[in-house]
Amino acid sequence: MYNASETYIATSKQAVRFAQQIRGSISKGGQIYTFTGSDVIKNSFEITNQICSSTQIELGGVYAGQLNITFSPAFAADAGRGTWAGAVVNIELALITENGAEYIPAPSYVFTVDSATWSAEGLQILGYDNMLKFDRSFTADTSSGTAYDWLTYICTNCGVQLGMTAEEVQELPNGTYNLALYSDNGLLTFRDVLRELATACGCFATINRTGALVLRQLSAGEATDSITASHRIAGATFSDFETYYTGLYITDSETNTAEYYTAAGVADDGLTLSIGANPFLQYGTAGVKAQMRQNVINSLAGFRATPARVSLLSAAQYDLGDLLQYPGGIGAGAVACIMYYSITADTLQAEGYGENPALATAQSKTSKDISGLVSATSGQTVEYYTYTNIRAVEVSDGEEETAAAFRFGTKTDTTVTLWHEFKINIELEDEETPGVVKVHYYLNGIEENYQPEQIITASGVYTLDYNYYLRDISGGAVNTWTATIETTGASASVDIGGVHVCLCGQGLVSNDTFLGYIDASDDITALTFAGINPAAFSETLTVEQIPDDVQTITEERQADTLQGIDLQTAENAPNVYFEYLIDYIAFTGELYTGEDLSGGGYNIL
Amino acid sequence: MLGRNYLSYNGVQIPTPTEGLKIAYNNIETVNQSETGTDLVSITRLKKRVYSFTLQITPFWLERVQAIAGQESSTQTFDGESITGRLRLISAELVKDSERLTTTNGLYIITAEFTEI
Repeated sequence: MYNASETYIATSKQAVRFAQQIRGSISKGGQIYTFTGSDVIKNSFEITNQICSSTQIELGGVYAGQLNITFSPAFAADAGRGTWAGAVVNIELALITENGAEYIPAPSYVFTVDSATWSAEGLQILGYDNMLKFDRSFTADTSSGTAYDWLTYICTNCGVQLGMTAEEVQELPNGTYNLALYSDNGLLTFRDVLRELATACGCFATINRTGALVLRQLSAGEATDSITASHRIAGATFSDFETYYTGLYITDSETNTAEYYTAAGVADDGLTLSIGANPFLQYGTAGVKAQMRQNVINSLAGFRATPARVSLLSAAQYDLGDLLQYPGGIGAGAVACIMYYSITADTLQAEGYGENPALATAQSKTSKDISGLVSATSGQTVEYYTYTNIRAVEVSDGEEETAAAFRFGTKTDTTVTLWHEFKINIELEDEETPGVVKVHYYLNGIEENYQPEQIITASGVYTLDYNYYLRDISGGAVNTWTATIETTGASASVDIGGVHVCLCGQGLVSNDTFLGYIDASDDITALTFAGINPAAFSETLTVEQIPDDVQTITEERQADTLQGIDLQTAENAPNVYFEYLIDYIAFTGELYTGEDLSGGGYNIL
Repeated sequence: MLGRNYLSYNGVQIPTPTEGLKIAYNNIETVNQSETGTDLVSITRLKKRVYSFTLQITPFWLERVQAIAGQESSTQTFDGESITGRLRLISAELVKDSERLTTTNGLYIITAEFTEI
């Protein structure tokens, strides 16, 4: 919130008052042309700015403020045609006090003309603030310095004033750290550098009213002002939840994995912010890197805001990042952050965005698993899942048996194609009567309304090929795909490796990583240890909870193998302990003999 | 004021309006309703005046009024106040049988509006 005068703020909150008075000047071709509201076409004036997209909060916003204004033909003619691009427009908004005598300006705005269009109505100007000046090519060199050093370097190279002191920058998250950048950073423009730098400092970047660059944090704590129901134009909307962040994903360039950090001192029940492979947070000792990344999410820990869209009579004291409270009415005391604003002579529209942590949390385990594994996977990349059966499939006449079952993760909404091939040995019950082999498909346990089938007239080995596609698969989810074989008038068998399924599509999560599911099987039918003939076998598997800091499980061993057990030891000792290790997840079992070693049972506890 | 010319445009006093002078006041406001049902008003301009009148005049005066109305803007003097605006003719009607007045070549009743800019 800008330091407008108390009179301006008080006047801006009057229910009936004059519209914002517009006045300013244009610097063009070495000449200064002043204008007032009389030179501006009604309803043509609007200034907009934002810090993030309209879907979710993001750090490192480097959005440019935009000006739209149409000058009257008379004023435009006086200023002349010439070249308007590059002209600097200073605009001041002011309010007239109740008696109409006093003219109180709010902090002014500065824009540079990007384009000008002549029409019968006048001269339409499109201008942007100085953020566009950072769209200069950045030559990547290895360099390091504090955030203030970087900001000074960026501003100096782009001809923009820095609107912060060294002390103010040092107070930002990671403001005192040495931020290194190496040549393989992928940054093309200074605006790219600014985005990553702002992100590393837990901020968004914007241009202030004097045209200078500033970094701002999302405010935590008390609202800076209050807008009552009688001052809000009807039609405001408020979400029924607060949006807040407690988790941070950053891709570590060294390991190419997404590392997850949680805000210190708070429960990890909020949204997760992903900042990609921020190049300023990649270098240093492991401890320093971790601390810098931790600082980013810690800086967001206190921020809570309700997504809202509110309009009120025009007021120029508010700015991006301000927390406003909306007591009474449908606002019910909600506190919302200004992430987008549009100001005209009559109204100010302020919007705040964000996702519902409750809903996001419901998906977060999956999304965290997925995003942690596939940070390098683009949503445009075609990914493949392949499946081959490692167990023979036996299908009795009239029965339905699972031939293929696997899970696949989706990053975005997508359509996937499936190819199935079954090399199947079919024995007709009656060689004179044809049999039928039918394949069923199940997505997440729900059968698809399509069952390809084949009439078999003679026993023998057949290779059946079926393809299928799934449309509109939701993103950010793990799905289970199952294909079963049903026979009628025949029995069938498929050897190990006789089933091949290939699933492909965009927006899928790579399949060579662990998605968070473990299938445990206890199909052990017989053990022929030396000198031991167990009559029964049972097991209980205990799966320890996955530690929070474990993101990837890269090794998987089949749970029905007993590798590493010295059978002689098992014979000689009454108890044998062994472990199935799946990286950090331990299956711990105890093998012991029954009373009768020769004919007793075995138990795995 | 009747009986004398009291309305002038660009310094030209025109005949006295036959039905007097009507002044309309237009207020340019954007009125929104608040959540509590009260008005939130952003005033752009108050008391923007429109003067409308009729004249019964000869073709000589009709031509002079037309000339002023053909200008982009003009200065009206009324009751001692000079304001800038746009004089526009709305209609001109030839009075029945007046064409027989050979000295004047007819009489016209004209309706005009002067809008403050």
